[in-house]
Amino acid sequence: MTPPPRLEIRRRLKAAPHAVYAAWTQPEIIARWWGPEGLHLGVSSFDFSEGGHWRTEMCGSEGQSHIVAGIYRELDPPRRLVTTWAWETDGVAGHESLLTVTFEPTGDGTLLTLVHENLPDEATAKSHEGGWTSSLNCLEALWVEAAST
Amino acid sequence: MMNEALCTTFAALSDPIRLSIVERLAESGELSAGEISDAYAVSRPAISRHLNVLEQAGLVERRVDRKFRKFRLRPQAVDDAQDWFDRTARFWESSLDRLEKVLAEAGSDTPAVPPPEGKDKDDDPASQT
Repeated sequence: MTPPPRLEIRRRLKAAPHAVYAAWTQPEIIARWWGPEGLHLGVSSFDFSEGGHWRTEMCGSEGQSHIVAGIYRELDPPRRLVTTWAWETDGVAGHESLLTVTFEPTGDGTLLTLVHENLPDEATAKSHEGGWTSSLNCLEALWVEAAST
Repeated sequence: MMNEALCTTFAALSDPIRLSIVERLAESGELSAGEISDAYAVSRPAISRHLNVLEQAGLVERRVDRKFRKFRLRPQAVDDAQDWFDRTARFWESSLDRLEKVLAEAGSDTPAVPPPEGKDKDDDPASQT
């Protein structure tokens, strides 16, 4: 029960960086893996350009639907992909976070590093620069405290 | 709407005094405005303003006990942050499992995944060992 507001996942994949990058930037491949097992990709759109919007719908067998959308900030094939990320609830975009995925070549494939960060809005980020990291570190401690009460 | 609140939560916590107040409340459970104020070398009105920000962000709630304003943490704000994290972590762990399978299949029985359109082909697209 100690969630840091920053999620980092690393995976070693047995495919070359360009193939992994393609899996993130070609809709027909995205459709094969995007979202948890048991859900399939519904109506989705991708504009693979910097500043381009994307939106995916994940549908379950019982009619449930989860929508997430974002804007590509950086597309640097086959090295790096940065996008904003926001879950949508009843047509309303929620809190915006930032997703950075990097693809590094290794001997037999690719090291994928995914960092999903929870961010304040831009105005807040600018006015707090230095203090932000330590706030988040403390927030982590806070979560532990609050969870135990 | 809950996610909007989450954004406000983080913003409210990015001030050192407010963060400190929240930590103090996490330790103590409930404190009066006076007890909070006494711990800081800033004016009471300033503390009062900080408490208002925290309250508006949904981080603390107040009740009036006789003539004292009492503050305590509101666990829901913390739960919202936890929910976001759980949901996102679940999404990625499961998605990356599937991505691994898709890439393994592409490597064995289907043609190599072509490089992105418009890119030069010097990145040896055939290296699907």
